[in-house]
Amino acid sequence: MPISLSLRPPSNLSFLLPSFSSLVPYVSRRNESSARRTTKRLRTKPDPSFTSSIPPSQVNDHIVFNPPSSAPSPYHTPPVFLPANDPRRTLLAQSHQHANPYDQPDKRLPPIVHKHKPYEKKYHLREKEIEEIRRLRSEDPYKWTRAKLAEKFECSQFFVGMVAEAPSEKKAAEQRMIEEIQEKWGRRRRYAREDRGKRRELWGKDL
Amino acid sequence: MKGLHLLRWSGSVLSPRTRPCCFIHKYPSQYRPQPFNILLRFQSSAAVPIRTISEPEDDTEPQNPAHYTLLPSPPPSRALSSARLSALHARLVLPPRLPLESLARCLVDPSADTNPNFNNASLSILGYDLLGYYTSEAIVCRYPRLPTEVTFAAMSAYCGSKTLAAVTREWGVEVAAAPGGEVDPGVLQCTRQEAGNASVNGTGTQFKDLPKVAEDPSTRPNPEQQRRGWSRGATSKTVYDDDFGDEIERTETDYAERPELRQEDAQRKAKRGVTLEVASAGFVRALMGAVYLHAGKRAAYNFFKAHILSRHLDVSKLFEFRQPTRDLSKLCAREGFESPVARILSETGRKSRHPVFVVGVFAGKDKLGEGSGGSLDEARIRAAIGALKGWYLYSPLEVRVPSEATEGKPWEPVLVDGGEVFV
Repeated sequence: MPISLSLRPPSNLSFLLPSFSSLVPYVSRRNESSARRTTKRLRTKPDPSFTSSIPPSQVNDHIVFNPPSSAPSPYHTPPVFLPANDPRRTLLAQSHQHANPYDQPDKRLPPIVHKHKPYEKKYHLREKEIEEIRRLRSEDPYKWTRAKLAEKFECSQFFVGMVAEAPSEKKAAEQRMIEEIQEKWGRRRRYAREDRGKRRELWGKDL
Repeated sequence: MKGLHLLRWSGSVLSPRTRPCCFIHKYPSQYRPQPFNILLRFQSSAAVPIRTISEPEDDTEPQNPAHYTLLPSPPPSRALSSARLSALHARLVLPPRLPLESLARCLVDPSADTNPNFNNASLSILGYDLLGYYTSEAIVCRYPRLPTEVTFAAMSAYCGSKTLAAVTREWGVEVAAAPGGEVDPGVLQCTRQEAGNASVNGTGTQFKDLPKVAEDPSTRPNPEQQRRGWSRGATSKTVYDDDFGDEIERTETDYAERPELRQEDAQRKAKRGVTLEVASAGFVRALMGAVYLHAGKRAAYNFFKAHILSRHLDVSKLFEFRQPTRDLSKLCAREGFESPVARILSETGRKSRHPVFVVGVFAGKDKLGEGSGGSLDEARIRAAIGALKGWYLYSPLEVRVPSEATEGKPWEPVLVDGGEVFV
């Protein structure tokens, strides 16, 4: 009827207006045809640690203990650090859960961080060789550096530094050289180095 | 060790004021011009030797309330009428044996009243020793391997001045703007020190810029070297310094040799004033001493447990290591373990901007510690720190402290081993 048509609000006639649907971002909607596809994506299986060892009769009658992975507590003393008379020593030795996994013969230890292995100390240098190290170092400290002497006498650089310290002139000259290099640094490099030092301090505080 | 029956002999030590008859203390006329020659004051609790003063005929107090202003601190007789004091007594669930007058005396700092019969100096010395004893035994028995510096840090975290000042605030004890006889006895009485940036007598100079008064002689044998930063090692701190590893200005031996020094020091402090922190700490210590004297050891220990030991302290956060990997290898060499080796337990994103490495430190086949970090070095160092903390934070299963040894079971010594690592 013409009268009832005129009473219709103009908003109902939106199909007469130009379409703006291309400006609205596409949002996926679930409808009858796509429901199975989209709900299947939400159906995830629980972690096997929640269910594996539990018989189906006890499913509603147990406690799930599955803590998230986190850093170990510092209050947990490793078994080797326990004193001989501590009762935890025997308790941990009897427990299967807390047994050391690397004790089994087929279980290999994880890879080492640094490639060089901890070396065995040889203790082979006698008084004579040490005198020789000192002599070489005092003769020409620029030629006979710690590294060279360590290589020659097959000991560690730390040991060379311990028995024959570099003369103070050489130390001062090296310090001057380092300062000269550092003076050439720009702002960004200097800040980056300072920040690195600060971060390193935080490691020591375990922050 | 046999328990002392405190209450049996405490009558000579404790306040005569707690019993009905009081006697009057002759107050020296040093404070202000006074309307009458002898100002009557009533003896508060006296841990110091009681002076021989003739007993008064009756228990009276100044008739005119204006006379209260002549006293340096409120008279003990007013303690019973203070609502603040009763509220504080009830709030802290103090033992009923502790009278309100003693609680009032604990609130009078030596800077407010130099008279040792009325201030809390003697009680706070006792309380300091008790707090130090209970706290140190709790820490040392619970963590027998703790390094000395960390023990000192834990001591001051439990019962140092800062903590005790916080405890005073938490108890709701307020501070009087200025001490005096007319002030409510339920507030802390102390003369406040001038702020460092306050000007001296209206001149331009500030207090912090004034040349320092020659401080007390040090108890250390070589004060010259120490000024140059020598001989302040952790071991010497246990010998020469106080419970928190801080230097002691004057020792009890000095006071024993020259007892007049104590009075002098108190007067000097009163002139200079004290900080709020020092006065608050003195109050808590004095209250501890008062609880011990009035109610005995058990009550004092309960008080300590309720207010000091119950505070949460994460001891593992007090550590700071400079070279943890070196310390750990020294430790392993000393204890006869294999030398520690860092091994990669897991990693992710090695070639990315934010890699994560999880590294474990192993001695032979035993894992000592584990740490994670953004670089292999960081993870390795954190793992070494974890291993060192695992060693230092060892805690026995059953902890018994020496103060419990008198009750029934015989004392078993706590663990003593090689101590901390020295390089």
